[in-house]
Amino acid sequence: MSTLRHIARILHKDLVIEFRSKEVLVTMGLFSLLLVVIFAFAFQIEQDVVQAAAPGIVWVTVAFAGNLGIGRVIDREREHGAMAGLLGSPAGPVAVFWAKVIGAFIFMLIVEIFLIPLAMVLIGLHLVDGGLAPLLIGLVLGSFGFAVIGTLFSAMLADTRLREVIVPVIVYPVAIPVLVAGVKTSAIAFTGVGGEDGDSFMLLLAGFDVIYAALAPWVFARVMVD
Amino acid sequence: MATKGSDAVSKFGGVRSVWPALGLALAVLTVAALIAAVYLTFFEAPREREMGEVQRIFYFHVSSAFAALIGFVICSVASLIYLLVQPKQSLSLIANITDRIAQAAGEIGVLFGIVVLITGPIWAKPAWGEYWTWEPRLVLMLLTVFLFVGYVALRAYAAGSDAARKLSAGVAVIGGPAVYLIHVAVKLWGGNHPQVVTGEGGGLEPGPMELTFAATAISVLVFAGLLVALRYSQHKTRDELSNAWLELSDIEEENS
Repeated sequence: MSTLRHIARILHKDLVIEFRSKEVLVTMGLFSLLLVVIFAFAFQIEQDVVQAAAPGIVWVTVAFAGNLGIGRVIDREREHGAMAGLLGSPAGPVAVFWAKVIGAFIFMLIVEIFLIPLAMVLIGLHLVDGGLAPLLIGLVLGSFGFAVIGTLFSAMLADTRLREVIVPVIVYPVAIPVLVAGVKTSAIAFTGVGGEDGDSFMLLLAGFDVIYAALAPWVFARVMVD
Repeated sequence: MATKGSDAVSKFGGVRSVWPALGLALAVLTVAALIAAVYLTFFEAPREREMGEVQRIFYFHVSSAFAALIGFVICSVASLIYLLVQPKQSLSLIANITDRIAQAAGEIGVLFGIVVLITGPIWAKPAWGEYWTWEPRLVLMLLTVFLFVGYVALRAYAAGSDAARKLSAGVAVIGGPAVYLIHVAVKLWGGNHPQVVTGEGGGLEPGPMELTFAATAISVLVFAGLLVALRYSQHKTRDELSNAWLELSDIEEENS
């Protein structure tokens, strides 16, 4: 069976499990919504201040919710040594990795589709002309990059002590380019400011995604399999 | 398995006797170089026009930054080689060597990174009025130190086993490109404005300042190299101890 079929199989399994219980999606969704509200209060609900901070609020929320979701997706495979079973199966570690990453990516996108319009309504944000493209590209490329890094480290560190502390310590610095570029592209979308750098940031996101899409599966395979 | 380790040790026995002498020579040279650098910094380098005496921190601050970043890069590259080589039994010696280099370089990189993060604010407060700004270079240093502190912590927690070593190597391999990507990201974010800090070579007068900087940079780098070598031999001794311990347990099992 080709790698793509394996990926599709494992992904299908994960999606079916998730859509039956919706456990991860609901957790991520509620958590993100809560974060947006908390941030609004933290910035004292002043419209101007919150609107200025909106891109940052959106992306911190995406990062935290993404971390949460990825953590739970990987945790699911800890019971009964399921991860070892998956890795030893004919699918192979690369297929397992991509299935997990794509699953995490899909979950993040679903939460974002729900969260961004809601945040825009709550905070009173509007898209400027031509703002939709940077927003969408930023979200898609950024979420993918975050999913790759987050899944890699959550899986690799799944068995260490204090993993819930160590994973963020390592993931967030590596993910900074994603967060920076994401915030900037969202800022362009909501305020029109910074448009001249928009291409550079989207290029940065694309470069990040390409580099880690190439590197991460290999590292995963080496580390997870004896 | 038990004899393989002692074979390797005795094979290097002849060469090993040279290392202590070399190491001592290097240490003496390093101390001399550092003393020269300190002398130059305080007595030969001219007083800086705008910032005054406090600018002298610059020489050691920037040199430490070099040492830290080079350490991180070495850690990342050595970890990559380790991951490439690790599955092959015949290359286990190379695997061990690169693994220890990675760990030593990562630890010393963090050490000098912390020096940078401490000397920076000390310099910044009198020079700019602020202990910290969210300027690209500062952010880059902060984040990369963070990342490799994570690496060092991971190695400390899960010491010894092959799985733990591969894990930390994976972190370092991912961290390598991350240093570059973070640099690009924060530089773009900074809006490509001219940097507040005088760039290396950008604001230096030719002559005494450049000489002092070169001398300090070289002596700090050599010092860092010495520390890495020391750390490497500590890790090597630790590995030999655990191998000896294993051999002892095997022998005891056979006899019991």
